[in-house]
Amino acid sequence: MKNRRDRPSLLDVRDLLVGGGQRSTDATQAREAGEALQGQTPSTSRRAFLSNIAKTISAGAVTAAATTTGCSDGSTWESFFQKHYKEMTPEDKKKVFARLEKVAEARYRTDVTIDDPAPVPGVHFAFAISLSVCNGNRACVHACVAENNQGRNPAIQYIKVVQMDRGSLNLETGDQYYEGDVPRKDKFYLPMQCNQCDNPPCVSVCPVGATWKETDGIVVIDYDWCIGCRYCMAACPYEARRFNFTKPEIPRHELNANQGYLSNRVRPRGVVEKCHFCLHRTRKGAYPACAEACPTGARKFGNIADPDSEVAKIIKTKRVFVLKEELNTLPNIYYYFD
Amino acid sequence: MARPTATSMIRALLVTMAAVTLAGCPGGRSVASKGEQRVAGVKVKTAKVMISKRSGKIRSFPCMECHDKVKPTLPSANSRAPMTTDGPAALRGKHKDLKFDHYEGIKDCYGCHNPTDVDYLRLMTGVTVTFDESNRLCGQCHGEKVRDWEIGAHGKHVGSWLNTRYRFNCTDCHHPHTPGFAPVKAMKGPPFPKGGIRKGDHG
Repeated sequence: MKNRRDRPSLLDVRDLLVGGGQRSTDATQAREAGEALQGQTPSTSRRAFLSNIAKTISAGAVTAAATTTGCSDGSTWESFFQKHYKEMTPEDKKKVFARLEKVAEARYRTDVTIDDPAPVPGVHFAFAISLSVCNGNRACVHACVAENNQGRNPAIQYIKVVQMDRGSLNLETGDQYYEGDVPRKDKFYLPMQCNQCDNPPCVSVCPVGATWKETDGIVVIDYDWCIGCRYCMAACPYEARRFNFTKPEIPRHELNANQGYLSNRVRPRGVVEKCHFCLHRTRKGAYPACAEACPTGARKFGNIADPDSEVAKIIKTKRVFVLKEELNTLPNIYYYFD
Repeated sequence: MARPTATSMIRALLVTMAAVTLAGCPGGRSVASKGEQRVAGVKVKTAKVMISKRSGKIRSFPCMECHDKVKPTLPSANSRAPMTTDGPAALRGKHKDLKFDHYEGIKDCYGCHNPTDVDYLRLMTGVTVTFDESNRLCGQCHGEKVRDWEIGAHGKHVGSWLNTRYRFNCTDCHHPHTPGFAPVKAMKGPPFPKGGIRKGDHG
């Protein structure tokens, strides 16, 4: 229960039932209760009593709903009885988007548009990352944070750049907290994010079906359906998923108002999030924010189903590898040296 | 998902060869695209690839605005003063601050620049190419890199992966006279976890 103002009504009814108005902490409520009792005529007191009960019950219902979903924005009824995203009709979705826009606009006092572009048919997204070119400057990390409305404190970052010794490929000896000038002569840099596996272990462990694989290969999360059990985080071999331990803190002027329902809308507290290949951009034809920000051009993004795309050509002509191939997760991020 | 099969690889190879041939054509600035094709029975759209142009981005171009009057007085092939990384003493005026750190033993500018009409570059074969086609010039030595660039494995692409994507040319990123990149400062890293132990501090 977030709003302390909801409480006096609960105290109120208890006071009425025991027959004394003195224990209520709220002076106004106490006075009202006292007046209702001192009215002496049975009908008045009964009416006041019943109306108070009715008020309390309705307030209690709202408070209960608010407690369950963690919202206190007056739109709790709809959010509590929201259907699973895959069962929603387009009209349902439109209503949900409008409600979420209203909530976000109230919170950030700026125009927010939430939509959900459908997967493009005949498209399967993949990344190819040139490790010879990546210099570990982390421009992708910060572009991702700005694009995807990640919480700033505690900082949530989808991309981890791992600094490793040249000649080795052991992720466990890698360092992701490096600072200073890059690239270092004896090191190379490997950016890691969600691999959008074709055989995703995170999806099969989700007990509520809040995460699933779309037809264009992107593994998405419905933040309204996630219960925060974090099974998917334990299942992911790439440590790609992040948990919102607190309500994400985003400065108002840094909010990206162009949001997608399954991608970068502001997450509630207690849900899991991860990279979604910027689906609100890529399904409209743009490059993901990280690929666009990369100053070295190490990140290649495209449609692997199209034999003329750069990723398909790279996979055909270069010697590519994926991370933890032996786990049979069939990742969609291919790494290569050139 | 379409995994590469033998047929698709052969087809891709043919496409790549066609693309390479077209990219190599003087003046051919857009790589051929099929637009739409069927792959395993599914309609797939292919983006158009444009090669980014240099003209318009070069400061004081065309060069002939000055160089029709000012004849370059720089170290010639017979000169005793080869260019150094600090720039030759003979470079004056606009090119005074030009540093050269590309390859050893450079004698003059005409390994790449066309001596008669300096608005063009000159290949080893004597063919002149425009500044937009630096890939042809660079490919004389860096053939492997240019082949990577042609398939999209090297170099940055911008625009849209679905509609039109623009491929940066060599000199969009690399300064032709000092093509290497100096180290940069890494942006802020992730916060180190409270109570965490740094690598190598385990004792």
